[in-house]
Amino acid sequence: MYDLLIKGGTVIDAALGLNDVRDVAIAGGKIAAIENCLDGDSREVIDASGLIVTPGLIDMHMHAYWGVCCYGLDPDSINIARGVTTAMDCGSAGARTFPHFRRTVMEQSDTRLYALLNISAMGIISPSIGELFDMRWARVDDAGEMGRQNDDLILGIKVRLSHHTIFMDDKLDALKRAIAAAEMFDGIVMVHVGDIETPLETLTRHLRPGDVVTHAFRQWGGVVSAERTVTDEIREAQKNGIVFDVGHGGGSCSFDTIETALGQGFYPDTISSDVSTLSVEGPVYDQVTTMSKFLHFGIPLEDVVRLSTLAPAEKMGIEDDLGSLAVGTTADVSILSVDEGDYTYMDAERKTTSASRKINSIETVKDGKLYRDWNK
Amino acid sequence: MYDLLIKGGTVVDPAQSVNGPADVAFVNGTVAAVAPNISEDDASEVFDASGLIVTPGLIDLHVHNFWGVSHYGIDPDVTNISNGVTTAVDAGSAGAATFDAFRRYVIERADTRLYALLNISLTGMVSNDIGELEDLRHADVGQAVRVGRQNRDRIVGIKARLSQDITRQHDVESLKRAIEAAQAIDGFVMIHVGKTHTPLESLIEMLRPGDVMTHSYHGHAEGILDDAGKVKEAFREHQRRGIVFDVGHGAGSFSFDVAERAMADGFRPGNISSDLHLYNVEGPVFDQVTTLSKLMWLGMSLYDVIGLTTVETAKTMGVQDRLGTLKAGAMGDATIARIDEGSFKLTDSYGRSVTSPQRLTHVATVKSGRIYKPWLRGR
Repeated sequence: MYDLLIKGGTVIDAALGLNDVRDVAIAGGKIAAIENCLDGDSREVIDASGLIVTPGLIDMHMHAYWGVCCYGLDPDSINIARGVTTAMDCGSAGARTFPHFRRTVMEQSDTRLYALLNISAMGIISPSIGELFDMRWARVDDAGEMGRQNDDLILGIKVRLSHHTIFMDDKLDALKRAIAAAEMFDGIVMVHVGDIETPLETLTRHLRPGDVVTHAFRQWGGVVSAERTVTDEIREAQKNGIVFDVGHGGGSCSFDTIETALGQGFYPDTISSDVSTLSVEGPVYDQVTTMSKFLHFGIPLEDVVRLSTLAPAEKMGIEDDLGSLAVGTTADVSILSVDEGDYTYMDAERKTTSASRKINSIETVKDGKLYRDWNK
Repeated sequence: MYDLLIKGGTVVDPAQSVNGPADVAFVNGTVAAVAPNISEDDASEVFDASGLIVTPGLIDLHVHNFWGVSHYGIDPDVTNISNGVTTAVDAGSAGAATFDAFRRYVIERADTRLYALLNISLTGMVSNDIGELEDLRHADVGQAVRVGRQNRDRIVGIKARLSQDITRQHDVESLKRAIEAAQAIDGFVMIHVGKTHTPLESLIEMLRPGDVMTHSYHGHAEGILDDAGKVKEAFREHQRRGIVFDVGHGAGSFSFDVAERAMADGFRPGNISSDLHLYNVEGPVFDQVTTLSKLMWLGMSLYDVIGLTTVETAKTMGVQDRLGTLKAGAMGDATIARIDEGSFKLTDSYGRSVTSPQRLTHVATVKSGRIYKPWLRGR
């Protein structure tokens, strides 16, 4: 007897090497079976004919610290209600505020939330005054210790390095402190980049394999240089395991950069939205819209799904249980449609493009249960 | 029929000039009557207050309850209503950038009636060693006014902490902005003083009648006493023109020496508050009734200290029509306490201890017409 049977959908799962019609059976909160045609009894059956069935989507860069972080959104209405079962808050909270974030948000949400702790003890509070303008906030021991105490939820350290968060001269110092703090609990570092004056290579040189560059596809200061090329050094860094994440956001994703990079054979390692109060009403909206943009620019659907499921799971170190529909793992499933029509997408430079396909979230399963936000 | 009758106590309600035996009855969450010999048969619940003091629910004008975000923050209910304070004002823990969270996560979930003074700094009091006004850009009048107006039901004014380690040289400009914001929301300003960059006299001249100076009896540089230990004439003049000199005991801001000299010189506080926070709740402050006991040791009567934490506090906040009194129709908040006789050690913020022959001790709290039981929180 299954709890839930999802029938007739096209399952896309990179870990299983699947892109084909399968039935997915769920019992006890776990994936029970994936077969061509499952006929067992189930308490509930969903007809997914014509739809895409993927592992629960993972958005590895968003902001969920409602009320304290100026960017913070309600985590459930933006994530699980729109297909994202697992999300990572990137630096909204620092060592000073993390216990509150954990208690009031992370432990209350239906979305499975992880966090990167901001190297600044205050995290991101003010929209106008950066958390690292006063470098006394960047406390290695406080951040490292908070990470160690909460290493079930804190996966690493976030450091934001752009002109509205830090003085130029302090950038490398802050990055080094972030790495030192992350090393205290074996976490990753995610660096937010974004200045034309700072070539990305000057930062990636300091990163370790597994560390993440987010906002990699911004107009300036991302993987495409001022001369509009992806340099050999950046390609080499990717080969060596530095992760280049999208982190679309309200100011950090350019269609021109995407087209240029893809045209030169450089793909993102992960697709994330960086959705926040600044961008939830456009141009980002949500993770499926972000995925749709990359579909539009030529990344095959199979890969777009991988970059938002298995790939972030691996970078976050949670791929044993999440990011795939392998039998026995936690039953997080996103049921998506790929709709045809006339769509207009906007990037963070406020440039638009016309597209013919859009990924939409139809149903979401978390821990084996269909998510219905009115049943919270 | 009354919901609750507090019978046989001594009622101290300076708002009504009441100071003697009386019963207090509550109905529908409000005070129904204060009168002698109200019959027990008329009430569904009776609390025997024989030998006890019954006052309006105490109001603490200066506490810190933004748990988790402000480093000073402590749980509002464990420290306020459980110890007799039915209404408390969080003094600047949250700023415009964090107030929404303070409201949702703390104010709206607390059993204690919580009000707030919004910090003129956007961030409020996050760190214990990086001042919230060191970077003057944090003092954002527009944001404070926007948030203050949106939350005027809870925000009664603006807080500005003006010590040099918090403001550097920006104390005058910070205060200007605090006053500008307070004016725009028709609220009062509370300034925290002690070790100010600018001489205190120059700062207090900027205040308007109804504004509050907290930490009045601090023992640091830049205080109310002159070199001879007398109260400077300027402060008497400011008290006469309506500046409220608040106690705001705190971990570092209440000196028996200063208070004794000021009292001897006839300079009494205009309000008594605790400034209860993480770093003094385990002593020397403990709670509001202990703070009141210290003022009684300094020679004030029970009646006077109760007035400075009920009716006078309510007037400062502009809520005297419904709080700070037991007049019929007011919110049904009352504090039941007892005066213990014995030998009690009371300690100020500078390690000086005195032995007092009496102490005010909290016995029970009535909130909205019901005896408050912490184990039934939220019911």
